[in-house]
Amino acid sequence: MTRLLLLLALVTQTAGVPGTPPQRTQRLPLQKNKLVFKSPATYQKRILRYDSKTREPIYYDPKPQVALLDLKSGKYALRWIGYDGKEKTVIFQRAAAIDAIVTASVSRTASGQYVYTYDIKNLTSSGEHLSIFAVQNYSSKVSPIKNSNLYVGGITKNAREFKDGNWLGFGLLTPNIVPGETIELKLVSDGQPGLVECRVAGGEQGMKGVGEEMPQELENVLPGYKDWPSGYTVGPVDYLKYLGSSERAKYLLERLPLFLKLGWMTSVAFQGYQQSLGRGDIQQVKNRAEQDFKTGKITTEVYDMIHAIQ
Amino acid sequence: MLLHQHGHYQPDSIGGLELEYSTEKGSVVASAFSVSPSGNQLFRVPMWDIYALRSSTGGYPWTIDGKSSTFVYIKNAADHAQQYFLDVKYNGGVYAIGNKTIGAGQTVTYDLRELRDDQIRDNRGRLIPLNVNSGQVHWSKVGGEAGVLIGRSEQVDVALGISSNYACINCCGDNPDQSSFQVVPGSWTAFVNDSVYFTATVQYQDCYGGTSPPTDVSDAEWTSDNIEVADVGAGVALAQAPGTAHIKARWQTQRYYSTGDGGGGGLDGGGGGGGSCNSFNVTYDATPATFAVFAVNIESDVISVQPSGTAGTNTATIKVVTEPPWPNQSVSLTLSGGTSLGGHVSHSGTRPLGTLAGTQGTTNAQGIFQTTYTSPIFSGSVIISSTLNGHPAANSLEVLVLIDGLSELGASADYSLVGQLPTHPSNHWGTATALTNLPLIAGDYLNQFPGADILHYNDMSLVYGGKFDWEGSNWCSSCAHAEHRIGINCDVYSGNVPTSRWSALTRIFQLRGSPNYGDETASANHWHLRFDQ
Repeated sequence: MTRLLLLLALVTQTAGVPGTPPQRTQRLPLQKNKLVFKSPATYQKRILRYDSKTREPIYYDPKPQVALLDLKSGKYALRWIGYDGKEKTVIFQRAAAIDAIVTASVSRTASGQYVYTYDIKNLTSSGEHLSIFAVQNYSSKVSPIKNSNLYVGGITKNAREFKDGNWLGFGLLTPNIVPGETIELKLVSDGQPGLVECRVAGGEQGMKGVGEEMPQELENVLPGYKDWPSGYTVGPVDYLKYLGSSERAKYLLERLPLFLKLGWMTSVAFQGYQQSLGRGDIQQVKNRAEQDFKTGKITTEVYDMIHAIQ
Repeated sequence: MLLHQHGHYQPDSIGGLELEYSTEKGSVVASAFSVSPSGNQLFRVPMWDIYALRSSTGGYPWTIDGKSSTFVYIKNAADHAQQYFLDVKYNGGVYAIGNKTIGAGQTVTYDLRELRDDQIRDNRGRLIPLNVNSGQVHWSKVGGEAGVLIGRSEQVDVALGISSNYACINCCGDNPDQSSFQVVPGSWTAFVNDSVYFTATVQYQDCYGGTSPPTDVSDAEWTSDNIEVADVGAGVALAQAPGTAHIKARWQTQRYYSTGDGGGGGLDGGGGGGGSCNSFNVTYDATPATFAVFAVNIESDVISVQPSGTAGTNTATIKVVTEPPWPNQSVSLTLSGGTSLGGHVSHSGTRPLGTLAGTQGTTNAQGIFQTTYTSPIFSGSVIISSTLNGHPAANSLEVLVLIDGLSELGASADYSLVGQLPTHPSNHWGTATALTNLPLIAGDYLNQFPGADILHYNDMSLVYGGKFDWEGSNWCSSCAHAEHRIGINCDVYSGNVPTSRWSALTRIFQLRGSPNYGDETASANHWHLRFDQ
């Protein structure tokens, strides 16, 4: 009894510095890269034509500009002077004009497959509707649950943001997940739940043409996938089933700081799991998870990863 | 007897008269005359005993009076070819025909009036001034061949009834002045791969101390003291590498000297009168020529540049480098089109080649001229050529104007490649990202909509990227496409995609590498894909 009291005292003291320890879980919204959209500092003048006699190019200044139209909705005007001498404007929609929290939970079917359910909440602070949810997996067999309002398919692996593992994209075909709305998306897999990445895009990135394509310098302003808010969730990870209990404990132990940072566990719970997993006592970890989940000290993501350990 | 019809105003014909005798040398005396057709005029015909002739030389006065001229005849009495030279001297100048070959038994004629009035140039390009009427003619056999040349001059004025002829010979044949034997030009500058013609010249001196103008030596032996820099044969030096070589000429010839009672004879060939003339072999080395060879290279800091308008590096630093360094030399640069047209075919008008910041200048203290080349908006190969001091010395430099690394999208049953035109027959070149994702887009679309009409992929980029003048065939700068320059674009035709599928298809675009696609369905019936670079 003396030993137990001393241990609790130490945990409390450690968790108490610095700042106030979170007493309940609170999932972190997907994070955004700090991108700055501004007019090109340098650009090449456009060649309007070549002099028929001297063969010298005749230039004109296209004056490429990037102008913010609305910060919340993430709309920018890409402007330049066209070959006809008139100003052209294309509206660029940032994918990051959305604040979203992803909640994942895992259940099992009668046949033993894992059903991953993702609730993507478009926060009221968003400026745009949810258009795409992308989730990573490390499984050879993943089946999305489709419906007529969805397009679900693979994602390019050429982009740095999607080069690791496999990615599945859920494209929402109607713009109905407006700020304040939540959508539930599902996939089924044999893979056990592990830590994976996810991304979202808000608004429609397709840009209406104006009869003339923009100068290369403005095209280079377009951020691609760097602008998609990103975060973590749980998803199918095949190799987890090949790990022994100690390796499984190590897998979780290495990721505990991230779970804490993501708001998936309280700091008190973090300390407890750090010790339990450090000892490799999986059963104690599972027992603790049952309790912590009921009391709100861990989220479904953490609980389901622990719960899936055989 | 041989008779030759001859032009001009006097002798209407010339001939040679040969008498053979079998007794001792000098034992026969002969004389001959020729008679004019009118029978009123008589001309002396000089006769020479070739076996008793002291030397194969001649020296005569010449005049051009009224309608008359002086003719000089030289006959080869041997049965093989021989060489000789002839100088025409006058007050204030000299005219030299240089070394000539005369065939066996042949007679050559020089009409001094014709040489003057027709302004026929000599071996150095000189002329006999039209106001010159008189002077001295001198000729001499040269070379070591055996045999005799004989000669005479004749001036006849039929109208005035005046005739004169000369057949004077010198004591010996003219001798080459060793100190005058030289290679010309004495120094020369050339560029690698140039061929330069050197000549060995010598001045002859007659046995009275008279000096002839320089004449070419055709049988000199040529050598180079640095064959890595320049090799030489028959006087033609080939510049092979930067550096300096000395071009040398060696000549094996003969000197004449007189002996006997003619007096004055000696090894220097002086003397005259009676006696005989003999010869001995000599070898002369000419004063060598200095041959400086420069290499001129045109260099670029890069082998390729991006077309202008692609936001990449569109300039190259061009250097014309002389080796060894040759400061203060005039450099000129020009541009011309290379073989690659970058995917543009059958275009009219002038292909833009880019610009040079400076097309003319001089080499600096390091022997370098430097300028900047700026690419055109169109891709293709461009040749940069230079001249140094007006000489096309440098190698040409080929600069490729291109977007590097583009590949061609292959055919597939999942999509069709459209939009090829005679002016741009190959229009589906792109980056690796574009080429990876376009087939996936087509596959995703068919998976989503089984049985759908396959997607039509229209223009991407040309083989080397750069401006894709879609609607033009004359290097149009301002016509569509403004993008499509760096291989990241593809126009996907929307006309065969039902509008009910557009939202799904655009989601496919977004997920398969083109999150910021352009929607030009309303204005141009296509989506303009932009893949990440």
